[in-house]
Amino acid sequence: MTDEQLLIKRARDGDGEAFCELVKRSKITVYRLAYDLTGNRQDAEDMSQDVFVKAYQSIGKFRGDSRWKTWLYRITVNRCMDHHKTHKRDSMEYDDDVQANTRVEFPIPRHTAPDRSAEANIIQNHIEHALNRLSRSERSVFVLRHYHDLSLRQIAETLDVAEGTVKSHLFRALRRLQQELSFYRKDLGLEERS
Amino acid sequence: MTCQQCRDRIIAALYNELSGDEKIRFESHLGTCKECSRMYAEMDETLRIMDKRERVEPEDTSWSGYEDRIMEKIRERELPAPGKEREKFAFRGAWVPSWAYGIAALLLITIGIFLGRSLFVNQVTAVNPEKGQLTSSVPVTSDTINAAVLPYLERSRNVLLGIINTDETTYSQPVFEQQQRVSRQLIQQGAVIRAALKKPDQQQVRQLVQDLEVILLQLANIEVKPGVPVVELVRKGVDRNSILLKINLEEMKVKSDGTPSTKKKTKYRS
Repeated sequence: MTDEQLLIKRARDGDGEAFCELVKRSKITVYRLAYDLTGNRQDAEDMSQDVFVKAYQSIGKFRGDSRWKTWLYRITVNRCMDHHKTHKRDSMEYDDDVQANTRVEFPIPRHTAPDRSAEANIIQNHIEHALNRLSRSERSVFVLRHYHDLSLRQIAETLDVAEGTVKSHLFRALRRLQQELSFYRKDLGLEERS
Repeated sequence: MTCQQCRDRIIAALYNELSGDEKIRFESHLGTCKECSRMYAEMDETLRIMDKRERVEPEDTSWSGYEDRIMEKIRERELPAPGKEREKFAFRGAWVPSWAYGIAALLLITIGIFLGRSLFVNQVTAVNPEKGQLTSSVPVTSDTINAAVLPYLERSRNVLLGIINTDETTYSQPVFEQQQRVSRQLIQQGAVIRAALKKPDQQQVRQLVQDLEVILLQLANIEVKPGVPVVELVRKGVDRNSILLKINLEEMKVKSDGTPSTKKKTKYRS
């Protein structure tokens, strides 16, 4: 039994210290996924705490069939989906059923950092803007693959969908990102090589 | 490899998830197909742009006391400790998995169905005399209706034969109390059976039940007193519609169709 499995077993038996240790080891991963899914630091902080509360509630059901990290990823994605539904009215992002070619203009989010150059800040804003144009499902699949390095199969397991579904979401996500960021290809000197 | 096959694998290729053989065939296709090659290159470039994304990490202070805050939230929400929560479902100190409850429920339902079928398979109809409705402890199916029709016809025939064969000359005034009481029961049952006979191929038996109802109604309501030719009235009704012949034919038909025989005891609640 690995150290992590031992901690999980102890946490399942109600050992608070073991659960705290699990939180300590996973908090950054969960925060980062929450941030990738929401694009907002405050939301990500709040959400990651909710994820661990939910994990505490459900740890009795965790049987170790999947890895602890994968299980937390699933809770995080579900929590983000719920968050999105709750805040749907306030959101200006795309829904799954909105046509890809529908254009909804909205202010570009300000992902600025004082230590970055103005140009870098602009690029960051455009990248976040492009991510915001993805549907929830597309974004979940994309960030899990691209920023969390989960294989297509692992994503399918995490989201409990077929691998083919993951591929098609990812394909659509990439096509949309490509459209949103097409002007950069020239700016970054990529146009000439294609 | 076709273009479609190539596009189906483009995501796996971008993330280096193709197997050795597939990778060779994929790259070979890209070498010959400009369109697929262009699509691959554009997607690859998009991924490289996305690589430039930087996350905004939380302030260092956000992590201090993070675990304590979570435990505080858990306490605020009064969530039971995982071990404590499981005690609710513990049986004699042993952990009983949730799926075991599902299996137990399924087992109980199966036993219930088995007992129901064993004990009440022939309890086809029960008549609500006030409403004349079918109240059955089992669903009304063509089998259950057929099982009800045969005893109904047999009983009706017995009643009618009992009256028709009465020799009025041997009695000063025959008494038909018993037959009238049974007729009233049969009228109620007949109404229920007729209502359940809805299929086109049941039209004949439905008509027979209807004809029987008329005669039984007549019998049930007849005022038996001197001078009233009860036997004659019933006999005419039976002869006019060839009731007895039709009953015999219907019984033969039902039996030859392999439907439940009259030997099975069909219980009626009267």
